[in-house]
Amino acid sequence: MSGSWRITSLRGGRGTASCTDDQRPFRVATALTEPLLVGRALTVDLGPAHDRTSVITGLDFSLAAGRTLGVVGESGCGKSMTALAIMGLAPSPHRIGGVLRFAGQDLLTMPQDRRRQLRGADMAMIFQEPMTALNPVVPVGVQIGEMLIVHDNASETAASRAAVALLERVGIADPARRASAYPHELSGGMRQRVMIAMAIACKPRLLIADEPTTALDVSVQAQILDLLLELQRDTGMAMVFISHNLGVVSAVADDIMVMYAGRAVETGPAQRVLTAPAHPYTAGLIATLPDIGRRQKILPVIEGSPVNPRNRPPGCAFAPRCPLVIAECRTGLPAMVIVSPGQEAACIRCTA
Amino acid sequence: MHTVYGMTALLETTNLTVSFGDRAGWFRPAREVLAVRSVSLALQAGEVLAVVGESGSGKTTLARALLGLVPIAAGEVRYDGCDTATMTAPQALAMRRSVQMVFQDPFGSLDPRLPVGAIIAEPLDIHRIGNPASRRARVAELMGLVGLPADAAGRYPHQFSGGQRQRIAFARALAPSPRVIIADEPLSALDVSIQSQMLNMAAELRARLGLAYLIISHDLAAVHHIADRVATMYLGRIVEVSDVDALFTRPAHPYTAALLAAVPRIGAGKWVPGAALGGDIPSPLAPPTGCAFHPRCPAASSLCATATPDMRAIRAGHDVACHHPLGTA
Ligand SMILES: Nc1ncnc2c1ncn2[C@@H]1O[C@H](COP(=O)(O)OP(=O)(O)O)[C@@H](O)[C@H]1O
Ligand SMILES: Nc1ncnc2c1ncn2[C@@H]1O[C@H](COP(=O)(O)OP(=O)(O)O)[C@@H](O)[C@H]1O
Ligand code: SF4
Ligand code: SF4
Ligand SMILES: [Mg+2]
Ligand SMILES: [Mg+2]
Repeated sequence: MSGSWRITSLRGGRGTASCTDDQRPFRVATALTEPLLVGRALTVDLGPAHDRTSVITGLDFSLAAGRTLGVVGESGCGKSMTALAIMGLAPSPHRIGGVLRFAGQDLLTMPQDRRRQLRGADMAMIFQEPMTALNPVVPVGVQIGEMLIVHDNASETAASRAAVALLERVGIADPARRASAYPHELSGGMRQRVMIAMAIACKPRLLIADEPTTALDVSVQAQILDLLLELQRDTGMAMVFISHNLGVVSAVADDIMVMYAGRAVETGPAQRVLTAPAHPYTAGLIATLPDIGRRQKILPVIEGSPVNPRNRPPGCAFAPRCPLVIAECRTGLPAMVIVSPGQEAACIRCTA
Repeated sequence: MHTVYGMTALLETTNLTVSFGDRAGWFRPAREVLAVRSVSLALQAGEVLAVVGESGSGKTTLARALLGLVPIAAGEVRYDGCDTATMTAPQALAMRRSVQMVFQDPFGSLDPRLPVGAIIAEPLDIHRIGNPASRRARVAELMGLVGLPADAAGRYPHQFSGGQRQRIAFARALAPSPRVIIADEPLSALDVSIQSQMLNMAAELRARLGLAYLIISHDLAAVHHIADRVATMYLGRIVEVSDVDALFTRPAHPYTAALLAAVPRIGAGKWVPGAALGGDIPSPLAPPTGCAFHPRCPAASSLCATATPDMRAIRAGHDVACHHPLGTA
């Protein structure tokens, strides 16, 4: 833990002279206008005090209103845990360290009831599987209406009218009739729309979408991407968009954070990171993807499988799979270095 | 071109129709779901044919019908030229050995109580191939083929990652030396880095063993990488079949074109809302009249609502069922 603190402060100190607003260390950023969501040296440890495992280490990110941060990486790298930590939903017992701020407020020291108020009203989350968020025995219109009754003190009539309007807003045909449907009576795409309707009911300033299209067909995925981008355009909400599908992230994200074994290994403007990746892991993820119209006899692969953040090797966690590994990689944790304006990578072999 | 006329296809369907009965409820008459409608498709020895389409279009049912796992309502399935409805017992046995299946969820399809060696050997036991010693040797050979470590035989499925479990499923399918592997969404549960490893393995095994694959996948980029030919399926029907390059560069069916346009691609920049194909796939209980795609089709005319288009060749090896195929006007 102390290691990550040191690296972050080093990075801030080095960055101040030359870098843009986005890269300034936290204390400078607060003095100016602070982005909607800020994480600095964020750590998440799970388990009771005597048996803690670190699943997230030293994450730095910031997200402004109206923008989208894409979070990518293989399963188990900590994408969902990052989302849950922001939402205040990390599984207990846990310990969260570092800085986490939302709309100028400190999320980590905030009283629990205030945090609950924020959740659902100012920040909302959608998941890969809508059934985990929907109550199977309550009609979907009632579930959407309940959000407004709980958070906005709406009357029942106002809430049910608003629920139908929300269903229409998320593109459900015949919304008045569909409001009385149960989740299992709807297709996967429609359930995802219902979950989005619930999430946007109270006009959140931040929407976290965790693999929202992973279980859907490409055609329905395209519809959901359309919907999320339209909603963002109309409401100016910020989005954290998590996906292991780089194409999907490329379609929605302004900035990207690539994670490996509980840490960020590369961050920067989405198109830049995806077309000129600096970290060997990012480059590997992109190279392994088959692409329509570009047949290759043999696909490049990243050998091996992702490491669990629980058993990170010392030094660079990617070293066991990295084609560029050298002896030094295994000794010290690589610090984030700036490789191009706004783009940083944690690799000792990356230079600007 | 893989449609070699005058040659017997390895696995072939003619007007195959599969129907699921929905028994009458209290206030409801019995209904019929036609999950596969009059499908004619041929898989040649050694080729890779992919079937793409939205969920609910009947891909899994088609695969299950090929394997004899669901009853056929009409039409036929032929293996090596023999109709499965009338084939002799030895012919049926040979087909069961030669056509193997790999499922989407490698966890659900592997018996968690058996060590990996026993799982892979199971088809050898079922088909009484070899003796215990030769089966052990065969299991070791298969594990080598799919890149499993030699000590894997004694361990259990839960001790392996998703990618390794898919290798186990592959080794098991290869055990009786099949000629065809039918794989239903074999990649969709895996991480991207593991998907590319599996695609390379599948390509290498095909080259070494002369296998044919029928691959069901909604990952169009992976399909373009591995398939020789592609069939697009919509609401139980095959609406387009072609060699993969023609289908992906010059799709003739508006549905295929819409599926391709919906794939977000790296480097294409940010998504511009508005281009997505609207609507959901309709219920097969009440399919639209005429061309089943007409309520969602940007190219639909009044003819499309009434007349079902027949499959016809627009060029050699490229068939499409559409009144107004793209790129031919
Ligand atoms: N409830 C939990 N208790 C303990 N560890 C967990 C729990 N959920 C996830 N983890 C661990 O946290 C790490 C990050 O998981 P997660 O954030 O779900 O990854 P991703 O979403 O990137 O696939 C993994 O190593 C996982 O095993
Ligand atoms: N055992 C079954 N009983 C009734 N209907 C079924 C059964 N299996 C599939 N269907 C229906 O048949 C249609 C095609 O399903 P399926 O073959 O699974 O499509 P796909 O694999 O393309 O998603 C769907 O409408 C599905 O609901
Ligand atoms: S630090 Fe070394 S092992 Fe890690 S990504 Fe860079 S080159 Fe590879
Ligand atoms: S037949 Fe008509 S409705 Fe059907 S795909 Fe062709 S143009 Fe569209
Ligand atoms: Mg996750
Ligand atoms: Mg299926």
